[in-house]
Amino acid sequence: MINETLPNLLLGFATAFTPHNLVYAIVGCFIGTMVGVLPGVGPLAGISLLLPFTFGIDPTSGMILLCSVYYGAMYGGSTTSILMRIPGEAASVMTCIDGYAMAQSGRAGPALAICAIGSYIAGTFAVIGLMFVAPPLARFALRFGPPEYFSLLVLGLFVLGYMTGGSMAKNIAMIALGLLLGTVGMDFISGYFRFSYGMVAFGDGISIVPVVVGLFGISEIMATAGDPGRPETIKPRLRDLIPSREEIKRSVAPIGRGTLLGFFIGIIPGSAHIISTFISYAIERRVSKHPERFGKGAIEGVAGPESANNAASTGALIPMLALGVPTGPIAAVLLAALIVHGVNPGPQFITEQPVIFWGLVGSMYLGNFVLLILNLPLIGIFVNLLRIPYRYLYPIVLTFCILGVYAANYTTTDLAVMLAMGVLGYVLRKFNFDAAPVVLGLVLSPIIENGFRQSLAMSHGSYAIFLTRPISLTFLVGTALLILLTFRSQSRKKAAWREKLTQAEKDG
Amino acid sequence: MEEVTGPARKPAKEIKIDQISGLVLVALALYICLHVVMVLPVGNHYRPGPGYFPLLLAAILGVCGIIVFFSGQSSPAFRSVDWPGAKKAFYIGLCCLFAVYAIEPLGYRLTILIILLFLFGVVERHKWWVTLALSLGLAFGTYSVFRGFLNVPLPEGMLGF
Repeated sequence: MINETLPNLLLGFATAFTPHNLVYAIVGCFIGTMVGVLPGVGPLAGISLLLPFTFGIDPTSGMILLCSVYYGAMYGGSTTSILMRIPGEAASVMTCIDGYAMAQSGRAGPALAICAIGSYIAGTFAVIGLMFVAPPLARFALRFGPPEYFSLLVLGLFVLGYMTGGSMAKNIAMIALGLLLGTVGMDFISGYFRFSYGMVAFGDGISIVPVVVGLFGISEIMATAGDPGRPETIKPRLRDLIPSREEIKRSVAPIGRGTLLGFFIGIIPGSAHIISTFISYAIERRVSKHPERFGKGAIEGVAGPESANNAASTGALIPMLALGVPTGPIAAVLLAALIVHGVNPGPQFITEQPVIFWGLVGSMYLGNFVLLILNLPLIGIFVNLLRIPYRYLYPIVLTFCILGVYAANYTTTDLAVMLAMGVLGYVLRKFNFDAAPVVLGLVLSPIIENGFRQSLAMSHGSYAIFLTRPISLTFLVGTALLILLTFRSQSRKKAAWREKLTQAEKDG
Repeated sequence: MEEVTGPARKPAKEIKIDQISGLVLVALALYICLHVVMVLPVGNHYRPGPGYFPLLLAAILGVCGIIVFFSGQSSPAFRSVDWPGAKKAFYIGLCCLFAVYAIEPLGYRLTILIILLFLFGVVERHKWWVTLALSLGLAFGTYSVFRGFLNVPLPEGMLGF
């Protein structure tokens, strides 16, 4: 395997280190970090915005640019989470809790440094995993039929409902709402239009971009613009970035666990990078000798989720690159970019397009290094962006939201959806609901519905198909255990970690 | 002499936020169920129709709504919900609504210019020259970058600019 991989990797480095690809990687990382740093502009909107720009360049450079934006946004999202308690993107939600608590106690620098180092290590190891583990893992994932996919996604959604703080009933309701939003548009099996109310623009369903920008961008602006108690942004000096020996020691294991967890969860379809941060946080809290420190500035709560997030971002590309199956909206946009460039994604992609695949792998190593540089010595530049008073910043962010959403599909319907989702997100905040499950439900809806209906068609209407197949049964047993755990913690009225997590989110 | 006091007045029962949330979820679930039953073929277990999955989801939504309603006794009272930035939130929503209807007839630059003049000048009350400089710079600057440099086809509008 090594004999085969090394020459390919050298080809990848030779491709990635050509001057123009080097420039695209650096520019992409810089734009991505800005996208991640600015609240309300997520990686999806950033990549969508940049997609038309790649049409005029060769596919390798285009993919390098878009993937660099993706990584950059994942890195940059942690900056606002730590310094302002505003997740730059959804996967940074968990970093807010302990990262911001660390910033409040004067340890913003080490939190940022551990984020960057953890992300670099996780990103680099995930690329190694992508090189060596992708083929057997892809073969294993190929064993999944519709019942396995359905059960896996049900488990994933319940994990999300369980891991998110607050009421599980509320979280499940939000997942159901997201899944329902995902059913809008043409049903690809029967050809019926569902919930489109005669609007042609809804024929293809509700686009993910206006939903994400509305729920996380517009609602954020709405909630924060008039808030007089908005926290000041802390600007750490370069020398403040160096973590203490104790902090490094406490971060090593969470980074390792986060990398492994994120990488493997990232392969699973769905917005795995978000789920991986939730699970990583829960695991770190579980294994910690001092779980009471979580929510009050535990560096493990920053190191684990951030590493998981970045490893999952790379892991999420495996099914897309190896099988041509996008695992989430970002991978779908990247896949669309490949198709636009006339590249056929699928199992033959790696052998037929070695320059693109290995060039991308080479650029990932390079990108992780560039991002480490951007996120440590140049952190001051990005922090200065955050120091712009919000009364100047929010109209600018609103401009980019309108621009990004309109440019995604060139339809005003998307702007209307963005507004509706913005209002919904604002109200959900006031009523203590979490909007993240809505997005996950929306993304997973077509996969989960197809899995469900195909399974029933396979079994001639028998639900037993989900229980008679071992892999599917395992996932459903996991789901049942989660439900039992929820009832157990509620019936015993114990201060379960989920309640503590909710409290930490509120206190933070 | 002892003061005669009347029976202690029972505190008025306040409606809680989770009770409202629960009711809204149940109402939404009922609406979806009705819509599905009236408009979409539900099918059966053997051949699930386009309405089957939404109906199942609506049922889950309804059950969650009922749980949220009945477990909402300990949630905060609706009257205690704080709406400090509601006015600005309304203005932001208004700007988005304006963009929905204006971006194609008026064009990107004019629409964004009007939105920014309103937000910087009227809502945030910045100095007029700051408002003008920021609004013009952003509206025309973003247009130049995205239309000119990135080839994003932003609408010109009927005025041609």
